[in-house]
Amino acid sequence: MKISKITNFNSKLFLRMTIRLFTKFTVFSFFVSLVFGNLCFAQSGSPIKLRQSKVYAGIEVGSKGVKLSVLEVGKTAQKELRFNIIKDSSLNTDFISFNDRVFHNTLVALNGFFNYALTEKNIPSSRIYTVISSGVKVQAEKEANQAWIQKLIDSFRIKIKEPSRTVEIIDPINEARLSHLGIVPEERRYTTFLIDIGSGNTKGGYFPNGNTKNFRLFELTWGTKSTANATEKRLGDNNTIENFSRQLYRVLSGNAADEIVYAVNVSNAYNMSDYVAFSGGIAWATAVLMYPELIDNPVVPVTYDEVVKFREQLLKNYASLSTSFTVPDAIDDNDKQLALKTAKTVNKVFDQRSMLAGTGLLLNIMRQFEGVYEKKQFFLVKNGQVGWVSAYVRQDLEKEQE
Amino acid sequence: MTENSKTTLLLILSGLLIVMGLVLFWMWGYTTANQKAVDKIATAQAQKKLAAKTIAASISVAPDSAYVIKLNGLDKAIDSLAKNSDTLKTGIWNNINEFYALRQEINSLLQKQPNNANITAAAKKIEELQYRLKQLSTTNTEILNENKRLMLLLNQLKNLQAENNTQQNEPVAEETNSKVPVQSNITDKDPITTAAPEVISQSNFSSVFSASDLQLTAFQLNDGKTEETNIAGKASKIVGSFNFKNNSSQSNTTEVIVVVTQPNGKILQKSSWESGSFRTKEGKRMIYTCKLRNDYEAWETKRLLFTLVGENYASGKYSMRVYQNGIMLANYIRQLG
Repeated sequence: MKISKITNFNSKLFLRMTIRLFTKFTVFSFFVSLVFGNLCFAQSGSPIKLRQSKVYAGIEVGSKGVKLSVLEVGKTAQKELRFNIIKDSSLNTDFISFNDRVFHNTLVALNGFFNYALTEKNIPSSRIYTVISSGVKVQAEKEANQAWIQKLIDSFRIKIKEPSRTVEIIDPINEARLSHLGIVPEERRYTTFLIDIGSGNTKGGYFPNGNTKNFRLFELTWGTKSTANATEKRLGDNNTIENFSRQLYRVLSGNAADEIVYAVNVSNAYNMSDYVAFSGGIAWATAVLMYPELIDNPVVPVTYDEVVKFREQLLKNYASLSTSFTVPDAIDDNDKQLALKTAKTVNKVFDQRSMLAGTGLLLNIMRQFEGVYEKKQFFLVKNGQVGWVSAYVRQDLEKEQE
Repeated sequence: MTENSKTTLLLILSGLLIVMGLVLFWMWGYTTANQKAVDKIATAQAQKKLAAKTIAASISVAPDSAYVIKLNGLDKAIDSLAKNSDTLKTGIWNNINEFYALRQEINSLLQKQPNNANITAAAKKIEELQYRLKQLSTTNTEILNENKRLMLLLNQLKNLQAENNTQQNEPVAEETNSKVPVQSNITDKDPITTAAPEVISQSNFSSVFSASDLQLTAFQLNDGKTEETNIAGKASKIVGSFNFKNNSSQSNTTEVIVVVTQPNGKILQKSSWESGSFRTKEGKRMIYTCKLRNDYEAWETKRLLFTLVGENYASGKYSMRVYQNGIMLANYIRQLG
């Protein structure tokens, strides 16, 4: 009995100490993340002078962790609604493991980010958007773990003392829809097909019926990383870049090509769209390296041939895009420095092989829209990851105007 | 080995040699006889072919000599014209390729065994060949006319440049409303002495297209009405326009790039979805304000327009440049007070 009591006592003490240590570590890592937040995330542009701007925050609970984006949203001199990313931070909590530990970490992170936005950035609660991403929703549904999501939302509401707080659980179609609403300007809303090339998959879509309720979803199981991984598997003993390029061609000509052709045909996007916009990491990286002089622009127009040339440069003269990267004289020195810095970040995030895989996938999709009689105008979107926050802002601004 | 067995062996060997000799002799005789038969057949076939050719030549002598041989002589002249022409090169090469293909077809028809079908086909193709010749002749005339016209334009341009150079060298009392050569870099260092608009416009005919009559007008909103203004601070939008002329007989679609530079040297962008970057013929990368798509007909002139919505425009010189295919067609400067 004595032994068991002692054991019981020790285990409780141990548990308490562990929780305390863990909480301290979480809080510490949270602040470290906030301090170095801008370094953690890459896809940010240069600040543009905005008029009548307001600061908004978006907190997203994703599969990997919790992400905070603080944006300054306003109008440019050209009266175009634009945003500057002020802060972009993330904490890896691995919520989709769905257990007590990750639940606690996620709640701490969510609460911490919310309070940071509220107190440190002085953003009113009404301008802080909180969502649960589609990745979490899909995974929870697969494993019948929806209760964890509801528990998280309820606990968060109690913590921040806002019982009526909206925490939207976004499904894949709504996620793509929100990104479209946030990224594509209103005048091009019904003529643009938006495709987000992620690391593991590709998704996007368009509004086929001239209203924002109906959205046609487009999905591929191929992304930049998955394409690169499939290529790596085929390399064998020959690990040269030439062999990588050859094997990448095989990967993209095989199952990937079949899936892309099928998905594009089924979406009917070719017939329904004038513009095709690409977002995601590879779109950002390609835009930064292809057009450093357009560092101020959140969107860069490109042609199929230009991306083909860029890909050739990646393969044959990679140094010109990495170690000896230069910026044309078309911009001033400040912008030049910013372009060089951003290019450096791109090269940290994507190596030559990832770039080749990503641009290969990009070109394969673009090819579907290079018709003999009609060619679409292509765009590369740089800040696609915060598109959903921008969509909420737009919706709120529209409500205010009404 | 005994004496008898040796003799028997020698006898067998000599017997075998005799048999082999006989076989070789028979083979020689057979080959010689066969060769004579083959020669006879070949001679007979050659005679038949000669006879057929003679008949074909007698039937097809007229088209062969009248068109094909004569046209062979014309080929060189047509080639040299195609090489000397830029604007209609594609068209002429297509015509010439078609012409060559047709000629080849006629030649091959005439070389075949003559029959009614072949002769009818050859006749039809010769008619088509005549039609193609007419087409080539028309194109040729067009090229010559276009060359003459372009020469005139170039002479005009040279005269204009000479005039401008003379004016520039002379002491200028008033800078406003004077024409000066195209300036590639506009800086805000130039002193602004007046709020009146300064217009500097010039077009060069460095490509198939030309741009002229460039205008950049600022507008302000006054009681809900849009009015023209020369004051940058009051302007809520700038409207640019110019005449875009196609100086060729071809119709197609092209993209015209417009670059509007602000007084601070930065490029004014229409919107992030409509502005981008392009490469000039000199290889320089430039940011553009907007791209205008133009479907043009032969020799057509169109007035192209664009609007830049904004506010708080800085006062100073605004430059507008029009590019097509990386070549600057025209430049214009407008001063806003």
